[in-house]
Amino acid sequence: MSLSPIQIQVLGELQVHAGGAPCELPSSRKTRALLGYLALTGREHRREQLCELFWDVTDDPRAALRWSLCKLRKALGASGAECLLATRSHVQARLAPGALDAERLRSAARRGFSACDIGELEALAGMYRGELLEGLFLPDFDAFEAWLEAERSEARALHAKLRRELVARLFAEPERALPHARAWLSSSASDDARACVEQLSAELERRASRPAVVQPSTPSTMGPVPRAETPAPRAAASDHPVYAGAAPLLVGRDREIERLCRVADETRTQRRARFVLVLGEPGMGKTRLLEELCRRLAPLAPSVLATTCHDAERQRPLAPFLDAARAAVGARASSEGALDREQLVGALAAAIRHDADEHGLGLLLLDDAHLADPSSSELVHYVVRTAARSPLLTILGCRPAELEDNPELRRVLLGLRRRQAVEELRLEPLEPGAIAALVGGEVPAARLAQLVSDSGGNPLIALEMARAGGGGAVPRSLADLVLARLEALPSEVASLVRWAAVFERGPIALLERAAQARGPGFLDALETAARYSLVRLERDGMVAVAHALIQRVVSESLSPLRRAAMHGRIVEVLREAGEPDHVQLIAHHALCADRPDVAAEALIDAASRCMRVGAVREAAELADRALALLSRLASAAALGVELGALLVLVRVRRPERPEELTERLTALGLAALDQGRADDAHRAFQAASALRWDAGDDAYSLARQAWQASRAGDTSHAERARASSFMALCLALMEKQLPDARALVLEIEALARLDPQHTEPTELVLARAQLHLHAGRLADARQDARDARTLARASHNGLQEALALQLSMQIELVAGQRAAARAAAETLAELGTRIREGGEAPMADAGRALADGSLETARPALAAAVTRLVNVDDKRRQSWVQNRWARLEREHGQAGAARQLATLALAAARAVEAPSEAALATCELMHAATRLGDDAAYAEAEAALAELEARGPLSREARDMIALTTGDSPA
Amino acid sequence: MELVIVERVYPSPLTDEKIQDLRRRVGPCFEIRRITWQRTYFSRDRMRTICLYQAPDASTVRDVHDQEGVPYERIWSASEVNELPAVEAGEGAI
Repeated sequence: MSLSPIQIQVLGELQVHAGGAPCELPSSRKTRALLGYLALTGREHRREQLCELFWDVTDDPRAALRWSLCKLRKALGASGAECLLATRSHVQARLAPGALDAERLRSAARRGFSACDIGELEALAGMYRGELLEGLFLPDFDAFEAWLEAERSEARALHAKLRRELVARLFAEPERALPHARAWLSSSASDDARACVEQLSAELERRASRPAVVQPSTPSTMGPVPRAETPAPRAAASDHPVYAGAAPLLVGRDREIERLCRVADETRTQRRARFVLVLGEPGMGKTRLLEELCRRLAPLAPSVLATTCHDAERQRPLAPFLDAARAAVGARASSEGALDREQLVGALAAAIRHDADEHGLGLLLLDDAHLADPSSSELVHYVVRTAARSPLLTILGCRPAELEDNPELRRVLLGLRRRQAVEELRLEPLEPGAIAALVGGEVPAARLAQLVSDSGGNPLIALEMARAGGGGAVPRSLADLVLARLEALPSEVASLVRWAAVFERGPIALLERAAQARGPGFLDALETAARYSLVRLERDGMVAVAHALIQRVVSESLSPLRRAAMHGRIVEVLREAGEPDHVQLIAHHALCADRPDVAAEALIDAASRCMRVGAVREAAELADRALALLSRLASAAALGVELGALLVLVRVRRPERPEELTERLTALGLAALDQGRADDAHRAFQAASALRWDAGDDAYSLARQAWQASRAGDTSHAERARASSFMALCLALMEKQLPDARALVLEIEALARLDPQHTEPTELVLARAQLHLHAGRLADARQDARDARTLARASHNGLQEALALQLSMQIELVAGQRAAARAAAETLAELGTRIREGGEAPMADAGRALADGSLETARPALAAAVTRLVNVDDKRRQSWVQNRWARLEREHGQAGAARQLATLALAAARAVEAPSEAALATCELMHAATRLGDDAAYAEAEAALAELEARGPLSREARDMIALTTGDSPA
Repeated sequence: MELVIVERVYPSPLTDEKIQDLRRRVGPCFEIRRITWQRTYFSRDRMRTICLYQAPDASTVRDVHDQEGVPYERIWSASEVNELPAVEAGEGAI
């Protein structure tokens, strides 16, 4: 197949040219966004995925997608058919090589801009007309927005890189280079770009002020030329919060630091990734060792990704890297909510590899890794695994005992050990001489020997002893040391440290609110605590206790009652702040405050949030943790928590036993009904419906008025079931609110099971048969229609039996089983004459005629049936008969007759609001218009059809007919 | 919409309670099926009624009555005639 001559420009406002002429794109922003998405991704997409991405709230997303594709095909003209490939299940935009501007740019970047000549680079730069897909924002569609932001970020990065290359090449020609430098600055706002703009502007001014003597071959006398394809340096080691400020002296770790430096040197020279685990008991100096390593390697590794895990953030996916990511991926990490977990992992891994390759050595340091959340462990694994051939040195600082409590990290280490050597460096107690050197200046000589001995070689204990040693007896345990120091501080400072210890790590403003200590006094206390190395002030207004050991000591020194009260206060403050980022913290502190209800609620909230950013494992873990709290909750709260957790799990984890889960959800729905919690019941039945019907393409909502009707008063289960059945049948026959009808069916089934003597109401079985027929599940529909007839006969209800027979007849006609259809029609005809003066008998006559299949014999019978249906004024059956008659006429080449019949059928279907019959009639009109060459009639019918599709889900029969008529694949 | 007539005969005089019961039984479905009650004529003994509805078709009204077990004699769609044909001399009016 030849590929289309279409050209699509996405670097700016979306533009499309077909054969050199601009195409007028549809006005619908969503439709244009769809085209941009298909063009940029270039791959096949499942229709369901596209529907979720663009139409998650529409009644019939598939029809909306089809409508958009139809509009795009029209807009793109003849080329559109070749460009947009739509199959039954997938959609793809296939463009010729070079047809998409963004792809040309990516292709050049893959080859390396340095390999392009200056003309090519300038042509690429000329393609930028603005922000990628400018104006195509869809604010209510988070997944699309996240994707768009990621694409824009990548486009901006490539743009900056391209301009930087141009500036480097054209630096000797300021008038040519300056526009590129300005564009570089506008896309990246980097210091390098700003410096280049200033230098180039100055040089131009200097040249303007003197006679122009251009000597291109003369080397520039200006400042340093930017190195092509070299990114602006990211945060240097000394900029990182962990390593900010003057580091204390590192003593007695020469051997360890030399070993690490040697490993770093080998990593650099052999260009091979290395992985080191630094193990040490609390206070042995892991953090300090990593700080010193960073300092020493700064000249070789100008950018470092160094971060620390915190206990309070163990429920927050990638928490330690979210901070680091702000330096690593800039704008993309500015909002966690905008980032998908996979995107973040990918972006970080790529940035780390890129820097390592670019600078010859990369450093990834994770301190207190034993506290890492599962996603962070996974990230480390992914980075190390994918950077095997990059000069990347990864170092994790861990406590050996606590590492055992982190199964995810242990699994990661096991995996890494299988793939490559994991080098271990154990920090042993310091030699007495080293301890003496560390604290010698602060302790009187007379007490030094005792201190060295008491410290057991632990530098933190030694330092704490020295700081506490103002005279008198030296406390022996670290806890005593820390607490003694705390007691010696002014009370407001000590109080603040206690609050910080309970808080662990968080925004200063919230700590201030929790401690209820405002104003300059609070800030003074904070500064004092920092000066005493008890708390650490971090970038972005965060505060943490200086060392995890100190945090634990101080926190555990509080009485359980007081500690729980402080956690409770922190929960209140966090909830008042209302920041979505705080939900994991709320859960953590609520658990510590013995508030399982709040914790469970926060866990559900956190799980939902994880789910939205694609952190599926964390979402499941959080939901499981919420479920584990059920036994501690009051029954009313437990219901909501269990329901919330199961709703998360349904979405993130394929249930092992879906039947059991469906039953549990249904039971929860009923319990919610009994408690009068309609919303919870709604959610439960919705999820259960989705599982039961396994459709995935329908969103269910329960009809409130139907519920109220079925639940009014103290009715028995059987009465409620019958009332709801009647409503479900009513909705199914009227083809209205079908998801509600399905949900009602599910509810009634559950109600029926509660009654040991239950028999399903006939209306329920009829409703189910009708719904199955609508969905095209003919075998199920057939069985239910048979069952319904049996039930109706048993209860001597002729009307219901007639309806069951009519359904059987319709099912068999759709299935092409003429003999069976005729048999059902015969019985219906006989019954119809007995029960009432209605549409049953003429419907049966029409069914019999249609089952015969011969137009000549069918015509008079069909005409007679239609006449009788008109007389009894049964428009629904009338439109059904006229539509099938019209089809028979068309199949025999009688386009004119088919058109007349379809017109009448359409009018009748519209009168009774039967959308599927209206769609079938409209399709017949389109067929007739094609046959008769009536373009105007065709266009009118096509527009009417799109409108019908957009309104709601049509029957399978109608959808198949539409596919046949429009050439589109059936949904 | 059609003007649909429902003729009913009752074995005993129709009470207000019975009317309320009928309305409760058919009300919700009337709403879903877009059936609107217009007016009702009672016979003097309240044992016969004629109800007028606006509905998509007569069959819809019939279905609701049958499914809910509400009795009726006949249900049919009607055309409203405001002007009768001219009368020959000597013939009486209808």
